[in-house]
Amino acid sequence: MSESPQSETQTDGAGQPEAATSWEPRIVAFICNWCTYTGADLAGTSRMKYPPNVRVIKIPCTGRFDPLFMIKAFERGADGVLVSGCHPGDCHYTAGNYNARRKYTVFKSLLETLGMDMDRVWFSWISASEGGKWVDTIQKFTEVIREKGPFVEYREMIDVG
Amino acid sequence: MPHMTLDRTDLPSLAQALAGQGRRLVLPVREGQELFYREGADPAQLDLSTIPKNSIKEFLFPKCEKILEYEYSGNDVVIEDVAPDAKPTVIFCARPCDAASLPVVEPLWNWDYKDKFFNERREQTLLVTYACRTAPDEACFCASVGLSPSADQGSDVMLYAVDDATVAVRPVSPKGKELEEVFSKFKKGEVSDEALEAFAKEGDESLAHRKPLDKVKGWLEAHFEDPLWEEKAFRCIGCGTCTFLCPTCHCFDIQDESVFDGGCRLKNWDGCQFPLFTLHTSGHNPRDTQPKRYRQRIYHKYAIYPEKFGKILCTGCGRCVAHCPVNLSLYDVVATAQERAEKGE
Amino acid sequence: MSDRTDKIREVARKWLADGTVEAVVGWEQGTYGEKCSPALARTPEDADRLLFNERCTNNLMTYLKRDPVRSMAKVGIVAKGCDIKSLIGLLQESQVEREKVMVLAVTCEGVKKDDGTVPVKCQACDVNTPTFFDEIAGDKVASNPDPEARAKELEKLDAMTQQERNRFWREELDKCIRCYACRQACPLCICDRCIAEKNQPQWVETSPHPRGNFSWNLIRAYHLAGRCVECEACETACPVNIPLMLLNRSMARTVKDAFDYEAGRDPEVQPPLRTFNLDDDNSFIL
Repeated sequence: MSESPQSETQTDGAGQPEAATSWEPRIVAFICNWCTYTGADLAGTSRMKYPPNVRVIKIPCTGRFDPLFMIKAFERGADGVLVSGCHPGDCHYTAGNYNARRKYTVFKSLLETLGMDMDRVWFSWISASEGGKWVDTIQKFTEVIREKGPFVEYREMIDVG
Repeated sequence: MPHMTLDRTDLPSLAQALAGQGRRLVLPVREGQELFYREGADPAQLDLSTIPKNSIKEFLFPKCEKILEYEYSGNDVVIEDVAPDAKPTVIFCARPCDAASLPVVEPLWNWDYKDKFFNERREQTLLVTYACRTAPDEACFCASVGLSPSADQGSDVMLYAVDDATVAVRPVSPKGKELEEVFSKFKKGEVSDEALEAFAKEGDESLAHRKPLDKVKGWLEAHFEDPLWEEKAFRCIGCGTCTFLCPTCHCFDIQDESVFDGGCRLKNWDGCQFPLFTLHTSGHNPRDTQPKRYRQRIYHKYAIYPEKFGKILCTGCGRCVAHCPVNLSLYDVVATAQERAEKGE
Repeated sequence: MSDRTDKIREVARKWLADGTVEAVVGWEQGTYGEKCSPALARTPEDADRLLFNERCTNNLMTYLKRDPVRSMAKVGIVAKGCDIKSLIGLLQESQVEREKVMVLAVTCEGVKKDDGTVPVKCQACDVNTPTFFDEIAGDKVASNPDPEARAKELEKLDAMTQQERNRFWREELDKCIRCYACRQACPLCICDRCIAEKNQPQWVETSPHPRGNFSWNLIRAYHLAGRCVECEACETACPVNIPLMLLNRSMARTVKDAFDYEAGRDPEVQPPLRTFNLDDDNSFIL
């Protein structure tokens, strides 16, 4: 029925996943402006190398995070989603990350109930000085997703539509 | 003239035989406490105990259908029409109210624009209708809108369960007559016209309590601002159940779904009971309360559509009555209008 | 049950006659089998149509969000214990002013669905005799909740593997026709403009294809997490028989386990997603 043509190389015209050799994991990371984004910046200015598979979307605070962001990312072809912000107690807006933490608990449980592969959804606290942790997290996540392959269940929903 | 009969127990095999000629098969089966028409259902699960909850509409007018694709190429948009996904289909044991909905909506789909999506599916669909010996549900009121439990409008072949073990067959349309060979393989006996007339009479008697609704249009045309709408429809929660289960409701919404370099255009079911249905971009909504939207539903079905196309946009299947979560009975409302018209109120 | 009906009519008549309320929302005899239907009594004479029996299944609190009730200064509502829980939810969120609603509670032994079965909410009910009301109709009814009734519903889902659950929900949610009956029937789905009706930007695709349906049902379950009182109005209204309560119950269980919170109990308590605890579960966060 509905078939939004994929603009990138993930699926061929018939909606089948490309051969494994040409597929690269696509990870979307929603990261807070004050901590994790700055931490990622630090990784960059320190010339630390990490896989280019991550697409960063900056939000002011993890408290802004809405589960619909994650769903939209998966709808548009993400294979994994990371949400990262300031450590509890360090939130620039005092309590945004505490609210986010509760949202994560609820939303994670909902996704589990719906049978979504939760290894494709990661949450982390990465501070402005933790460039290393950013690099480490992205490296690990990319490998996990590479091992798992494209997010077939969501692809099927897109293509069968 | 005589009509062939077959054993009731042969109905699943007959369904199989019709599907075996390269048609997708749709038939009523049980799911939990209710029946649904399902595509590709196992004929052995055929259940005729009552009227299915869904109508056959979804097999000719799907809830979501792609109508074209587009791609941005430089400054141009390249549009590619999508062929309707119209496969040869047999709807086996549809109810007369469902079959009769097709001739009712055909003028709409062929009015100012010939909708190839509906037309090609209609062309490819064979309707084998299972006549109701008596009205299957308390909510039925087909007799009130000029139909009956054994009406053959829209059908290609009619099946009549003349007794618990026997089903008579009567081809109605040229398409139906072409299938005599397939049916005759199951022939066990014959019945006369009189038997079918007696069958029809039993059905009519089961709905003798339903008023004909012939004065409703006139009453509606004179009572647009009547307090009846607030009175009856305050309880409507705008859930859209009546609209989506109705075999004749046909409103649709067009949605474009794009990614960066193109997308597709979809035709989706829509309903006049939703608050956004008539919301203008200015922010004004001419039907801003539920009673106004409900009034519109009645008017469309019993006044406007008859004015335009000469038919009531309703086959009295009763689903709106049976499944309304707040028991707002459409029959109750139009019967009230009829009553008032008869009294000259 | 008839003395409840008498009391309801008596109280409604009084409230309408002395102008305490502009109208009373209750139930009256329906027109399909033994079904009952929501009724609006505006005059003392109208009050004689009101009744209560085991087919009064609708949650009348859903009328608070829509006109004409919404614009009324004061309205009476006949309510079972489960319905009152949803009012408590609305009060917690300041969506309704306490002074606006005169609660005519009714004691209840449980209702019956159209197919004759007893809803899970009745099997698990501990509010047979409501404690939050302005007037009450009916003798006290002892509560005898089945402590396993709600949990049992989730057993089938819990026993499935992740892939089986995914398959199950994809099949069920594919049936969705986006009629929004679930939302319309729900007393706590109160947004003037639902997220599914917003298109600048369009977060939830409106098309009833699997992807759009997944998005809609997921976000509705999420927006009800910690708010749903399990009145079952949504599942009852759904014309394609999607087991919506499985999602809502699963969320209620998560909220209970993680935050020790149950919806619809205490109007003074903060809803769980509006507050936080310094030692909320952090174990799943890297």
